[in-house]
Amino acid sequence: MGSEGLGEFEQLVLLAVVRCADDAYASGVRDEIETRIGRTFSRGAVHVTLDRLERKGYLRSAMGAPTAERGGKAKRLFSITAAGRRSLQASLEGIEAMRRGLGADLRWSTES
Amino acid sequence: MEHRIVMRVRDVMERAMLLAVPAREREAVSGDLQEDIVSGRLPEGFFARMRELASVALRYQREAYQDPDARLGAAALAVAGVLLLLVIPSAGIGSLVVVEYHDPLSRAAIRFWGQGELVAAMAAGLVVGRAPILPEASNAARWHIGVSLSLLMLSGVGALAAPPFATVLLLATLWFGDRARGSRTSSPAV
Repeated sequence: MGSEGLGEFEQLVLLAVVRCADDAYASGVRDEIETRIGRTFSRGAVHVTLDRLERKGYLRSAMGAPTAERGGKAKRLFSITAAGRRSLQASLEGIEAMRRGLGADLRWSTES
Repeated sequence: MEHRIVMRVRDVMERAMLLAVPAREREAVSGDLQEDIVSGRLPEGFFARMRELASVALRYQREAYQDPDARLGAAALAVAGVLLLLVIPSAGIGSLVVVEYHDPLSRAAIRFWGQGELVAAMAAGLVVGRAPILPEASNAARWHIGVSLSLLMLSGVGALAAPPFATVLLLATLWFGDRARGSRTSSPAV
C-alpha cells in the first residue's frame, strides 16, 4: 500500500481532493476538475477513482451528515493521507523533471 | 396516482442498479445524483437518472478488470469453471456407486450424486465463488463468470448443456462460496 504509481486521472482527483479540503466528495471533486481543466468526466469515473485511491491507501473517507437536498443521503467525504501526499508529490515531480527543458517545444515557459 | 407508480418503478429500478455498486458506496452515489438533479446540473427525469446510474454501475463492474492480476485470475477462474462443468459429468461419477441403500435420504443423496451436471454445477460455483486468486476489488468478476457459465449451460452450448436447476445450484453455491471467503478474509479492524 502506498507504493503504486498514479495515472493522470488519479493525479487530477487527488489534487481536487486537496483543493476541496473539507468538502471533498465525488460531485464536488468532479466539478472542481471540470471547472479547472475544462473537460467533462463521467460521474462513474470519479466515484470509481476515489474508491480505488482509497483502496491504495492514498485517501481516507468518512460519511458526512445526510441533507434534504440529497434526498436524506449522506456525502462520502474524502481526505488525502500521508501516503497519498507522498505519491502525488513524487508523481508531479516526475512530470516536472520530464517537462523541464522542453519549454520551447511544448509552448510552455522556458526553463533549463 | 400515475406519478406515484412512476416513483415506485424508479425506486425499484434504482435499487436494482445500485446492486452493481459496492454496498458502502450506494448511499453516496444515490445522494450525489439527487443533489445534482436538485441543483440543476443533471436534467430531471426518469431516463436521465437511470442513464447516469447505469453509467456508474457499469464503471464499477469494469473496475473488476482494472488490475492485470485480476484479469489473469478471472480468466483462470473461467477456465476452471468450464473444465469442471465438462469433466465431472463425463466422468460418470454416479456409476461408481454400487451400494444399495433403503432409507429415502440416502437414496435421494445417491440419486443426486448420480446427476453429474448437478455435482459439476456445485463444484464450479464453489470454485468460482471461493478461490482466493482474485483481489478483493475484483469480486464482481466472480459473478460475471458465474452468470456467463449459467447462460452457457441454459443455452445448451455443446457439452455444457445442463438443466435449469443446475444453473440455480451454480449461482447458489457461488453465493455461498463468496460469503464463506468474505467471512474468512474480513477483519473488524479494516
